[in-house]
Amino acid sequence: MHQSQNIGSMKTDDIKQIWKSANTDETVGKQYSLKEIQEYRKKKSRQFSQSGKRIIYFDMGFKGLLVLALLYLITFQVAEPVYQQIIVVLISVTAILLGMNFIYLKKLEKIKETDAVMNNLKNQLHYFKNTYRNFIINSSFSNPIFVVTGFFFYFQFKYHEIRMGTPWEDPVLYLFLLAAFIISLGAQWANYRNELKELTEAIKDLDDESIASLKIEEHRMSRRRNLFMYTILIVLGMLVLLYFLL
Amino acid sequence: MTKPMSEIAFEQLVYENQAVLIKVCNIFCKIQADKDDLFQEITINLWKGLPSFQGNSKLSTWIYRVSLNTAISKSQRKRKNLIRYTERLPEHNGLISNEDAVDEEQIQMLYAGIERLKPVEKALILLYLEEHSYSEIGDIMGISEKNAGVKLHRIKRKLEKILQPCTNLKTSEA
Repeated sequence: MHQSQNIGSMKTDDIKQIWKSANTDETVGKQYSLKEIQEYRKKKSRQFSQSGKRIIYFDMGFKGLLVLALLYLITFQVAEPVYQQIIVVLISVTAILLGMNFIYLKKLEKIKETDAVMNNLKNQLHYFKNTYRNFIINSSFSNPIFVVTGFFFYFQFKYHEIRMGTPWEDPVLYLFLLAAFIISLGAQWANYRNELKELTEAIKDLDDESIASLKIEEHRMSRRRNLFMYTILIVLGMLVLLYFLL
Repeated sequence: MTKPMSEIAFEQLVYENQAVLIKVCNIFCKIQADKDDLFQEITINLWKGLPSFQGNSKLSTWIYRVSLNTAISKSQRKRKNLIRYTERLPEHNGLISNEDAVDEEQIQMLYAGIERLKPVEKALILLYLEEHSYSEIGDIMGISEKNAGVKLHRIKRKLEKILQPCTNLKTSEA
């Protein structure tokens, strides 16, 4: 007599039994040799924190090249004081943005794979919400700076002077600048929203209360921010009032 | 102060504990190339995270944390590439013989069912199937013991429901 039991009522005990059978030395699958493990250890990571680092490094390299190009222009090419001042401003802005990238890198290092899963997810979410968003805006400025530097080079080498009109006289350059910023920001923002959504969902899947507490924390932060802004506005308003009264 | 582990000692440690890594890879990836990628990624993260391992937690807890963090992050980023949701579960004749021999088909069916779970659910069910206590699961996942129990109860029901279509056949006697 051959008797069989129903897999249909596959309860957790059955699942455990199948799991055990699937994970014996013979059935668990490919075993890795010491040599393979050694090779894997030496390879470079493609994990988020590493790819995130690479994106920041790339942007830093890009901005570094732009600073060098602008320095070349101001040192050897551009003689008009107005454009020299514009280039100095551009160099300063790019250098500040470059410096901010170091802060983003430092903060990224706080995400550790050795933390408990929930803490790791929360740290990632915190980084995404508070740092990565700023990085996206920061890196989106690289493209318009690249475009304006390109235009400066073009004008300088073609006409031996920079010919930049106002946005009303010559809107092409300004439209290019705007497009460069919007396209870069838009593309990165869409990706950012997706990743943010997936992270939030993962935390919610693990602990509903965490999302609630994160929202409360966000609300508190926003209240503190608003309070700070209103205080500054009130102080400024009073100073202006005092200026006119005295 | 603890002495840093040598590269050789680390490789030996991964070699001896590779069963954990392989199980994580099996549950998060379907094809061998993806499994190899994930195994490599976990090895790198274990190596990078080694200095922060103080010995406060159990070695297995630390390995599970790094492995699951890596797998969850990777599956979130590369969901389309890494996880290939099957339209239908593999068909099965619905019978488990009394000889306790669980065949390949049933294993495939279980993996296909688990494949339909969300990344964190996969992590939780893996720890459960590996017979970790709720307290250990909570420790690895960073949630309370009670929450681990509640979540696991829901996931088990969900998994049973997923596997339900394969269960229409009644007990048979031959």
